[in-house]
Formats: sequence, structure tokens, C-alpha cells
Amino acid sequence: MQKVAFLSNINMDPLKSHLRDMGIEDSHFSGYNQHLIDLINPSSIVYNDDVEIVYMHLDAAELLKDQFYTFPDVEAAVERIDDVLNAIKTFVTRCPHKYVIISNIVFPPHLFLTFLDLNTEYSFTKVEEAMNQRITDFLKDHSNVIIYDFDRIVKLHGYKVIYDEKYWYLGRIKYSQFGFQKILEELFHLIATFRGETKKVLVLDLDNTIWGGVIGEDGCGRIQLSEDGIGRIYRDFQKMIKALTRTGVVLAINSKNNEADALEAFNNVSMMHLKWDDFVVKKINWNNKVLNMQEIAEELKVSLDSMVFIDDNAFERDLVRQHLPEVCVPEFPDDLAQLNSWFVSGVVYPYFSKLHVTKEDLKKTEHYQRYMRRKEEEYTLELSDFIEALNIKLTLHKNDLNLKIRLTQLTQKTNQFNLTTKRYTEMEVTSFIENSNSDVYGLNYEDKYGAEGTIGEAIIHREGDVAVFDTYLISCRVIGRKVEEQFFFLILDDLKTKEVRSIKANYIPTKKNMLSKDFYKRIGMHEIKPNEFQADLDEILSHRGELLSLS
Amino acid sequence: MSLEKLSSQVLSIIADVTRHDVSTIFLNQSFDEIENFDSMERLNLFLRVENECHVQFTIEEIMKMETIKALISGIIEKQKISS
Repeated sequence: MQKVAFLSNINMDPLKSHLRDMGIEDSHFSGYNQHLIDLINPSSIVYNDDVEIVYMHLDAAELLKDQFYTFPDVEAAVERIDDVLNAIKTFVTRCPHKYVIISNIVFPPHLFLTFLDLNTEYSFTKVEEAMNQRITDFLKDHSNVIIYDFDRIVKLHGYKVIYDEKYWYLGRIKYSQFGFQKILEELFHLIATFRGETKKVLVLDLDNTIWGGVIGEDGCGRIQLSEDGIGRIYRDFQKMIKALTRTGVVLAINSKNNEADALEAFNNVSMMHLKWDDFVVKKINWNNKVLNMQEIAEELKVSLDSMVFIDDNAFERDLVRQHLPEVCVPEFPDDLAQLNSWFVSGVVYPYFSKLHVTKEDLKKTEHYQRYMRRKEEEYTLELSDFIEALNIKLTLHKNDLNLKIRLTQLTQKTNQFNLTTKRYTEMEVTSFIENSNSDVYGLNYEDKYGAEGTIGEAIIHREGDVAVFDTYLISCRVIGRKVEEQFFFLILDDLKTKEVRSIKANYIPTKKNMLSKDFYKRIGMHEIKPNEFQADLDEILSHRGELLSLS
Repeated sequence: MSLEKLSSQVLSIIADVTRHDVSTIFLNQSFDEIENFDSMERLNLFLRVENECHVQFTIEEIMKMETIKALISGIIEKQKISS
């Protein structure tokens, strides 16, 4: 397993026992105040092959040293952060496949400058802003450097509980046990986010969840949604949910109600911020909510573990937890006034955090709505007629660095039609694009309902006249329309121009990719060992007509 | 909390910090007598004791405590004051 190395200008040793509690025994820690030397010295631990991520935790006061006890000088302070950034630059240039996570700069709230700080040019607040701006600017040219928002931790929990000044004087330790615990939790959460371990679908109950009251009993006129009081809490909650859809989160409803009552509320309650069409799937009925959850997953073609369910009713939450343990079901707050802060800290942060938003994310709800409309048409037409009527247009992209974020996201998120389920980071995808012996293909899809963006990806390594499929995946939204076969042949056409004569591929089974199990066999490749396939390029190309035939 | 329970909690934290078997650590021992117990582990021990036993020592108190027994007496004293 790849490791995290911890560097700091203060003593972070107490993190070791927290890491042990998490079952992580062998993290690397640099010596106290060795953070810059370790980044520059090629024989230091951070250069070890097993280190994937370097976490640089900076204490602002210690970074400034004596400058912290005098009138602040922005320029001199920026020089100090530049020393750190230059060391990071040296490291990431030498090790482009490793990541550096750097904490932002936080000054303590008790400054000897008192009111001078905000009212004069002598200001640590200005120093803090300038140093943090320097870090943000640095990120623009270094995509393998990520900022860790330590400022948020301090603001959320409070300086007095995160810090413990006594241990600073005893052993250069700045934080309390609680502080270390929170620092580590946030760090691992950030790492999980950058590895793409986030959820896709937010499933919501209606009554007393996104509005106050019971629509079937209270009617449209009496449910609580307003600009004041309790109604304002629900309205703000709806605004927050709507904003979340802009980051690519898909919404669904799972509610015990008459659908007509719910529709009436969405159509007639003027303070309703969420609209009927914001929800891609609506299960508004009197069925068991467990069954509804399964149907939502099935209809959206997502796995249950990519769903989060919010319901005010403890019975319904427990029922879903018991029968579908893969679904994340957070507790609902007892104090309604906490609903919105709970939603951010208890739902958005743990389940829907992101480091990037792609073009596809911005239009995710539209994409799924089109997907649902296509599905409706599928039921009324013969499959072949349906595919033909879609008027599908596919565009192949090859080694396109502009797509690297989306291509990374596809490797991290695609489960069902994914032959090897290899998860790659942005740096790894970039290195494949830039490697002259590898090719990264992206497939864009468009049909009569609209453009879906990049929905397919293949990573191929060439060894002489043999092409090896490392990754082959298609987003589940377009599966079953011969897109998976067409994409394959488009790639083969390109490989032929590179004088490739044969292709190799393998299938790595997971719990979720049974759908793609027989793909290579179906396409005409020979299974030389279990799940290992090989074929002559011309032989496969000769089957193109029959494999793409719609009849 | 009873003295037995408190002692066993503190011994278990010390065992965890020093990665020793808890049965080899005794109440009458000084911290120096526990093999490999270094100054960093001593600080880790106090950080954890303060957090897990819900007490707060001053910097002077921490510097003066040299034995496990003194640490446990210190916790009892603090708990008496706070109750």
C-alpha cells in the first residue's frame, strides 16, 4: 500500500498513535524541522518509492520565527513561504507522480497588535492573506500539489480546543489530542476525495425533510417553506441541495406519499426552491423504501454504495440501513436549527466532497434526465429501431490533455462496464497521455437528445506490434447501444495505423463489473488463460460488420 | 472512577504509548524504568492522559511528575478539586 510521509516545522509526533489507532503502522515522519531538507535531499524518506503523498503541515508563527514577535512585514513573510514552495517545486519536479498536500497558513487569534491588526498597515491578517495567496498561485502550475484547509478545522472547532500551548513549551507540540485527531480525519478525508471515493446520488424523503409538515394531510397551503422561521430553514436546505447538483450530484426522491400530492406541492408552493425536474428518479408511493432504493439504483444504473439517503424518520433510516448496508444513511439532526450546518458537515463533506468540477458534472442532472427519457423510449420500440432512431454520433479523442480531469474521474467512478477497474490519479493519466508508448482514448457521445460529453475511455500500452488494453470502460448511461463495440473498433482502426498486429487484454472481476465479463469474448478475442485474451487485429476487424449489426 | 479502574486505564495508556505489555508495567515504577520510554513518549502519555482521563495539568506539574504513582495521584487530586 502507498504511504503518506509527514513533514512539518513543528513536532507532529503524536499523530503516530492516532495513525496506529487507524491501523496504519508504518507512516514516514521526517525529523523535527527537517521539512525543507527532506524535500530537497534525494536520499530522504519522501523520495522512497512507497511514498505516494507528502503532507506538509506548516505552523505560521514558527515559519516567521522572530518576525512573529515584531511588526509584521508582508514581503519578508512571503519570502518564508516561498522557501517552502521552492522546496516543494524541486520535489515535485523530480517526482512528478507523487503528491504534496500543504496546509494553509493560520495565525493565532491572540496577536499583540490588537486592533492595529485590522486598522493599520501592521497586520498579520494581511500577512496571512498574502502567504495563502502565494500558495494558491503556486497550485496553478503544479497540479500535483493540493491545499489542505487547516483554517477550516480551526474555525469549525475553535482555536482553544485545537491548540494546546503547554506542549509547545514542553516539546514543540502545538495541538491537543483532539486537534491531532481532527487534523488526521480531515487529511484522510481529503485523500479519499482526491482518489475519487465520493458518492453520486442524494436520495431525499419529502415530508419533514425538504419541507416542514405532511403534504397529504396539511395540503399545499400549510407546509412550512418560507422566508422566516422554520420555513426558512427548509428553504435554505433546498437551496443548498440545489447548489450541490451543480457539482454533479444527482437527486432522487424516495417518499411515502401520493405522487399527485407531491407534484401539486412542487407546482403550486411558491417558496419551493427545488423543482420537480431537479429529481431524476421519483419513487413517490406507498412501497417499502428499501425496494424503492433498489429501484432507484437500478434505474440510474448506479451501485447502492454510491447513494446517500436522507430521511427525518428514524424507522425508515434503520430499515434502509439494515437491509441495504451499502447505502449511506446519516442521522437526521434532532435540532432543526442545525439542519443546514449538519447538511454541510455531516453529508456534503463526508460524501460529496470534490477537488474538481468538470463540464459533465455541471450538466449531470440533464444527462440523467435524457438517459431516463431514452429508457422510456426503449420500452416502446424494438431495440434495433430505438438505437437507429437515436442518431448516435461518437467522437474519438486521443491523448487529449484537456480531458485529463474527466478521464481521471472516469477511471475512479466507473464500476459496471469497466474491464479492469484500475483507479488512476490525474498525474497517472497525464503520464499515460504523455508517454509515447501509451495511448489514452476518450469517447464523446451525442444523440438526438443531446451531448453526454466524454463517456468512454481506453488506456493502451504498445509493446512492439502488440497493443495491450490496460483500461477499457464505458459509462453505464450509454451501455447497450453498441457504443461499447463501436468504441473498440474506432480504437482498432487507429491502432492499425500504428502497425499494431495483435491485441491483448484482460478482465479483472470485481463485485460490480459482471456486466462486462464476456465483452472480450463477444468481440471475438480468444481466451488464452482464464480472463486473459488475445487476438489478431485483422481477424477482429473482419468481424466488424456482424458485431455492429443492429439486427 | 475507582482507583483500580483509573490505574488500569493509565497503565493501559502507558502500555500503548510505549508499546509494552501492560503486565510488565507497575504502579511504583518511575517513567525512566520503563525500557525505551523517551521524552517524546512522555509527552504523548500526558497528552493522552489529559484527554482520556479528563484532567488538565500545568506545565510545572507535568515537569515534576516522575513516577506512574505520582501521575495517578495527580489525576485523583485534580478530579477531587473539580468535583
